[in-house]
Amino acid sequence: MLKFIVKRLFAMIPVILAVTFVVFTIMWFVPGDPTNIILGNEWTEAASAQVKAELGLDRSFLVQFLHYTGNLLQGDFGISYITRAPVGEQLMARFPNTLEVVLGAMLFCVLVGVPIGVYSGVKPYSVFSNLTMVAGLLGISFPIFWLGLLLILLFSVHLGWLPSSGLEDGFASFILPCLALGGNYMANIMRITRSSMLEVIRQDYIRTAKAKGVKAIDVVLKHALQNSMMPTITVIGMDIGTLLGGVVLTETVFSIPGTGRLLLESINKRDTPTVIGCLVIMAVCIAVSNLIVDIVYAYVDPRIKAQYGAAKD
Amino acid sequence: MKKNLVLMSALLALAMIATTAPAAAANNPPKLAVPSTKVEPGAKLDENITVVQQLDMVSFDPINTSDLSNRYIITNIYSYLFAQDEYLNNVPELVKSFKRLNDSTWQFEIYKGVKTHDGKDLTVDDVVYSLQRTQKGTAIGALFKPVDKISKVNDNTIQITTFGPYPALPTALTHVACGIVPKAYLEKAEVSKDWSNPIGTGRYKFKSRVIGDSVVMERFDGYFNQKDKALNKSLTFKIIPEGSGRTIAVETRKADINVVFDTVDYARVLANANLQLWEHPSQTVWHLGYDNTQKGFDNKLVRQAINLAIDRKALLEVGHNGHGTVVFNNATFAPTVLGAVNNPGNKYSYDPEKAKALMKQSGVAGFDTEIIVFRDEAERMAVLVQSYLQAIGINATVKRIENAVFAQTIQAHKAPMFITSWGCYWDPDMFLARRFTKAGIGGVNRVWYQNPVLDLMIDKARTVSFDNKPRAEVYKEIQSFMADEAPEADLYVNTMYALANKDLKGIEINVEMPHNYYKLHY
Amino acid sequence: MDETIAKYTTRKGFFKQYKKKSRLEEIWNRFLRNKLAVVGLVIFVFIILVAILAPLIANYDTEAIRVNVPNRLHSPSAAHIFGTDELGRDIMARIVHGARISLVVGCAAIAFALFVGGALGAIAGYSGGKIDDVIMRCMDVFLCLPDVLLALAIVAAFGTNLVNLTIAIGLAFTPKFSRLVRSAVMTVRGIEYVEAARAIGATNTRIIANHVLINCFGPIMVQVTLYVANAILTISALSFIGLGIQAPIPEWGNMLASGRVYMRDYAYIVIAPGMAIFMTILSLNLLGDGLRDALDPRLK
Repeated sequence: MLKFIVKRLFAMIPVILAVTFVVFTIMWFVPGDPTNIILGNEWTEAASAQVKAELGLDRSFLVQFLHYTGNLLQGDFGISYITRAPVGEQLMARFPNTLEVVLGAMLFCVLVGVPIGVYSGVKPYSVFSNLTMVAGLLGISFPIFWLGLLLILLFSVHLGWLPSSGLEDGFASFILPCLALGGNYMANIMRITRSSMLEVIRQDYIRTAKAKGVKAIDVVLKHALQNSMMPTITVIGMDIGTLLGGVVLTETVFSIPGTGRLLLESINKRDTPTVIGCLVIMAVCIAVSNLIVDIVYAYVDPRIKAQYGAAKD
Repeated sequence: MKKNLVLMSALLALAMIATTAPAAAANNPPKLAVPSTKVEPGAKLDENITVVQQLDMVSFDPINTSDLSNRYIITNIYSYLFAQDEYLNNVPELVKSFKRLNDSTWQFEIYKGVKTHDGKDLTVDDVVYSLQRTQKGTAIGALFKPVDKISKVNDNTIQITTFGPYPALPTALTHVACGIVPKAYLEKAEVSKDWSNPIGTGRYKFKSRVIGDSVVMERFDGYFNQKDKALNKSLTFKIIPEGSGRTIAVETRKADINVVFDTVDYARVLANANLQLWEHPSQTVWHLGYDNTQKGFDNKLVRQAINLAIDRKALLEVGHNGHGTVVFNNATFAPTVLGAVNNPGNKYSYDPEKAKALMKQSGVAGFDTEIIVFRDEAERMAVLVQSYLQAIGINATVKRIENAVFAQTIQAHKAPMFITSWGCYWDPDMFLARRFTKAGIGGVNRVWYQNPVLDLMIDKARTVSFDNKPRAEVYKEIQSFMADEAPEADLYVNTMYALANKDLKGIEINVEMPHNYYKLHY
Repeated sequence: MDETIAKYTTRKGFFKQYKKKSRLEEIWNRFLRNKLAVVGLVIFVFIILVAILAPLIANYDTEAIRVNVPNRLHSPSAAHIFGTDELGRDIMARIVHGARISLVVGCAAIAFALFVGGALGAIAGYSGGKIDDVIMRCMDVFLCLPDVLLALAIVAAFGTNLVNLTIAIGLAFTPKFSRLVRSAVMTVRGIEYVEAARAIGATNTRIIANHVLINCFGPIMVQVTLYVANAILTISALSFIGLGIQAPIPEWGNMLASGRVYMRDYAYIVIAPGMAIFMTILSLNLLGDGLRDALDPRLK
């Protein structure tokens, strides 16, 4: 098992490098350069050339890319063109905020979405089940930024219960962003859990258990749940990418100082090292969450566990 | 299906409730913030003051950037030879006295006994080293172009020589990049590139910073000028990018003052008796520029027609919700600048008929063009300008680009028209040459205008005297000349606001932003 | 009535009930029985009609674009059903014209993704081996970046005009389609009639086109509707951030962005455009779900 994890971690490296290359190339072609932002009203050709020399922007594509990648492999994200301070500093300060919002949304969605999905899968024709289906449909149709704005309108502007921006108010500041971000996510989880549960409930071994006289709730918890979890786990893990894409919008709407907004600001300022830093961190997150999903698969599904066990030899 | 309908009608009902705008009760009008802070007996001078602003600071290195969000934070840590006053004119700070040996040689005497935050004495070597570093950098740009050599005369005096007379030298020394940093710190920072623990001689010592969130600094009790020291114990700068978020912070007393006030909240704030809004006219001139070398705009009558075709009042309404003063000028003179004249010769007004007549007279048929913008206010104004230009036969499309490409767009002659702002120093010498002569081509002469007659006048205004009165007269002539030439159309200056609670005292605003936070107290 | 008589009196009529209804008819009937799916279809058709008839509903230049300063920020009323925005323009007119842009760019982007991604996926799935590996590794790199961000980066690089936006969003969805088509192709590849076709000498292209792709058609159509919804969402998201459709062209996302500042006192500015996005996406999702259920009733 450990060998498997290590192998996967190493396999991430070429993917990260490829992502870096793609983003570096895209930023290379983006018109404009950071000297506009740095010099502002003092922009002249001469001053711009001087700043570019200071930043190393006058070197060729290959030289810059190799220099950057070389540093990246040692864990050094380089120096921001704008602040002239290490990019790692900025990322360290802002990524925890993003992570908190993403994890908060995930936790909320899993804790609320899975039980709802399970229940409506077990009792598919009840009122509750229909309600959740509708909520699910609505949930995946709400654009994150609109949901965020509506939540602010209701809970901040009109009722004054929750803060409309920033992260100063402790737990209260996370409620609205996590709700907005998690809308789509939770709807997906509910639907998948429900339909997977429906499929499993119809299986023969469930009927056998019921016939044997096992109590309904034990049927659900002991037999059905474990087997129906696979698609749910897949969705929880694979959709991290969607959450990370959505967190950019959430941070914009709620003015949260995270890497999502940092990414947008850096693109606007043509601060390539920071742009790459943000995207690399996100790519690493996605890769790590895929890995975690695979590990959880192995533990939940004994068939897969056997596979890995066998592969070890 | 039914549930969908129920949900949707609930949302609509919500919308209708939330739609009612608050009644505008102007029972608490804004006060003019004048720099006349007096300490009353019984004042609390040891409070912790929290200031909220929109953007984060960039770096503690003074020569890194001229961003306003950076300047107004780090000027509390560092001292300057001269500080900025209400109109961005100069006021001596580290300079005890100064004299001019001749037209191009200045000598400045520095105060003795100025202490740094790490307990050492500030020496003239530190001052010279700092300023030489400023000169080598790019942040101060054109303001230091006339500066030749900076050198030490003796342990109390520095000497600066210039290329030709440069009466604005003291104003140039107020630029943020001229912050004085001890030489030992600079030498270390040059190698380590680490500016996270700055040492200066200013009224505050750096305490801590959370990137993207806040900066905290404490009063420095060893500040050399005890007659003008900090009136509060600590300053905390909080970053809140959302306009209404900043207003809410002050409403809930989580912050004491909001220095970047969003005028959308104007009515709401006036109706709140617990808040006090402070205002001050700015020297930031919003203007409509055009490329004087391109077809159509190279015709003087066309340029004058444009100046008559636009309703500046409506543009102010759309750009800044009406908060500002309309300006009729063509050389970016804000009304509070040295020698400023509003509407020289009463030449311009909103007169579409006269504009059409001028267009006809010019013989230029209608043409297509583009208005380049990169900010929200400018975008709204451009859409309005579009409709005005259409009435006189000019078909303009609005194109929004990013700030990062603006300079290149101008250089490539791809900005036939544009709308942006320019923040003026009080001394017109700081902006005239850069914006309207050959020296500014490739820089901020975005209208591509040059005229040897204007060059002579600008030179005269600089050299006629070191006394400001005769210079003002020349500047008046320049403005009349430019009104006829009309190389650009100035629109308005917007009003600067600061929002505080009703008990806060010591609010001062200059023509750029609320400043002198060291005077805030209760 | 005639049918019933024929059923008992003629041979043809008798056997008609056993005649296999065409698959399409079957699917359509199942679809119609799903009430929510029909609602989705109706709403979507309505939106398309609105988009097509936009110039008749509201004049583009005078109502959607022209600035009318005295008319600024008026609440919803008889004259302006959704109110006016910060430049005095009728919000309903802007929403109606915005529908055109969203629908056209969304469908074009997905069409692009379908052809490019589908071709890549079909080649990868059918060829297997090294070619499959190379193509899929490339796609994996792009899948590591969330689609909004990838589209964002491309648009920031090449400029924010309609064509670039379409291509950028298309490129962002290409890996998804390639994966989809690849797995569908691989499933079908093993089926007997493909082997039979090969046995009689059909060329690879013929096999792919005639047999393989036609059988993937169903699931692909379902995903197409869902991805079009996603694409429209992405366009709005990009415009909201400022990297999509630029003013003064009305687009639901940029309407939300510019109206946001006024939200505290004029809430209606952000309600209507958001509602438009919501309804479009909801109807497409209902449609997609309905299609999926109709194509494979087992999944009910």
